[in-house]
Amino acid sequence: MLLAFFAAFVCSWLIQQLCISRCNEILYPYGVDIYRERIAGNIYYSGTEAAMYLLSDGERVEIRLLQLLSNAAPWILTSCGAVCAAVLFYRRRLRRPCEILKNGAAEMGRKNLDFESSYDSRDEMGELCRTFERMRREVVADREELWRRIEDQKEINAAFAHDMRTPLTVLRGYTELLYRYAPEGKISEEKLLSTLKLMSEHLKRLEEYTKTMRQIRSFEEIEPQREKVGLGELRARVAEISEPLNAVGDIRILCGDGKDLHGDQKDTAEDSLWLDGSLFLEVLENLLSNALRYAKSRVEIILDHKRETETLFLYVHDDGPGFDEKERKSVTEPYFRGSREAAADGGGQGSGYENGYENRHKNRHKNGYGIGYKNGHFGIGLHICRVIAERHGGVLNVANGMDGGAFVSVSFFCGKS
Amino acid sequence: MGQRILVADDEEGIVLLLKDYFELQGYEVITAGGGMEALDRIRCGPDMIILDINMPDLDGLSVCRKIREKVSCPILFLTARVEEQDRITGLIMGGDDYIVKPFSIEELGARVMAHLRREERGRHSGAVRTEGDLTIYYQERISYSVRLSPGRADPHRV
Repeated sequence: MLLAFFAAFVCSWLIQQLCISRCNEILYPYGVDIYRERIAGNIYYSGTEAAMYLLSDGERVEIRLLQLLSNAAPWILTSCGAVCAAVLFYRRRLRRPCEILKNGAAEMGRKNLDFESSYDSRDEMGELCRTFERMRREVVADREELWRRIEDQKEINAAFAHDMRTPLTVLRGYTELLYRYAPEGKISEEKLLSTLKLMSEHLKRLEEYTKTMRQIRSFEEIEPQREKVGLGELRARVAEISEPLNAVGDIRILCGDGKDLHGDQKDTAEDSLWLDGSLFLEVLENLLSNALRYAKSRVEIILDHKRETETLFLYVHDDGPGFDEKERKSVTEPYFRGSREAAADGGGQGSGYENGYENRHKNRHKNGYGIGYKNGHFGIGLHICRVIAERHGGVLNVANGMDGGAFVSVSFFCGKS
Repeated sequence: MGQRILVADDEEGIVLLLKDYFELQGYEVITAGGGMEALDRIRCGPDMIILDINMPDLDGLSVCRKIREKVSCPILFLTARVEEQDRITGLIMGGDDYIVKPFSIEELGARVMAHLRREERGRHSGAVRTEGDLTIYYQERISYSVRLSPGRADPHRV
């Protein structure tokens, strides 16, 4: 722009000089020297009026044109220069980024976020393009989060609907049966009472499903409330919870410090973690109660902290039967009831009917610890743990330990934000 | 009716419901709490099998695959899954019918009756022959000849 103005200025000055010099050439024979008399201003009209009348027509026209040119030149040149400068500037500096941004906006309008706007330049347009690219990435991340939430909800709804069908079938079936056969007197009083009892148990089951559904929902929307806690303090808390359980039953609970797993000899007891304590304990209690159900004689709890990634790892290992390889992947889905669950649970109803139907309810529940174990639980424990871990920036993995038994590992991100 | 129905489902409530209902209808009901138990109970020679698909030890589809060569009675699947593919798989595996939970017990009863009736018909299928005007009932050793005259239809006993 500056160059253009400078060039315009110089050119118009040159043109002016040329015009004046040409005028001078014409008037000189009549005894007028413009340069000499210019200082007095408007000279050759008044001072040499005579000269003007002596000029031929052609010369008069020429002088007029030269004057016009001389006056107009700066304006014309400046505007031309400005236009040229603008066009050049646009071509070189603005056209590409504008195209990029326009295309990007068009793609986003078509709901396509699969493109990249890159413009390598340090100037403002480059900055604008980079900002646009950042914005696009944010939108993609948001969409992915939304999609993941919807899929999760669908998964829960499907599992929920799936498991609701049985109690609904039983309730509906018995209602129809009683409606049809009771008036005919075909249902004895004893039979009627036992049927009603069974129906109320299934009703209760439906109610429980509704409750757990709400529970899962609330976990998914939870925001971890992070507080500073020392690793040593956390370990003490874990030991505190497992100590009373050690005293009851035949299962030993060991608390390890992860040194064996990672070979890290440094004492990490003083490490500070930003953790939501109540969520952490919820996960611990769920995993511990699962482990206690299946363990033969030993449950191991290990807490480890990786400073570089600011991640806390919780490992719970039992020496029970472990996970069925086929079910391992789906075990954290909501309402999962695998074969080991069904075998240990015995159907979960415990209605007491015999009828040649084997009662498989093995009496392994340990009530009274207040650690959230329920008779006839619905298999959402692991799912909840997974949801909590994810909300806390971590993951949950299940595997079978090298020496058998189930090995569940949960990680929590413990950085400040 | 006295026919024997085998009911296999891991849900105790459903097994009881079906047992109560079909016994009231006059059938004899044998129950199984899982796939393996069902395979065992097949030996009783049921006239109809009602199988739940989602059983933890051995699912209904596998049971059906294993027994289809050995039993000829109708097999009806109970399931909570609504996807079309599962319906198709069930029928391809050798199932004869499919009902989705939650179902109406009366509808299930009607379907069972229909399948058993069809089996009955199948058993007597070779017993009737028709050729033109002549119909022969082999079992009853009777034949009928129908001659139509304008305005009248008269069966004649031959």
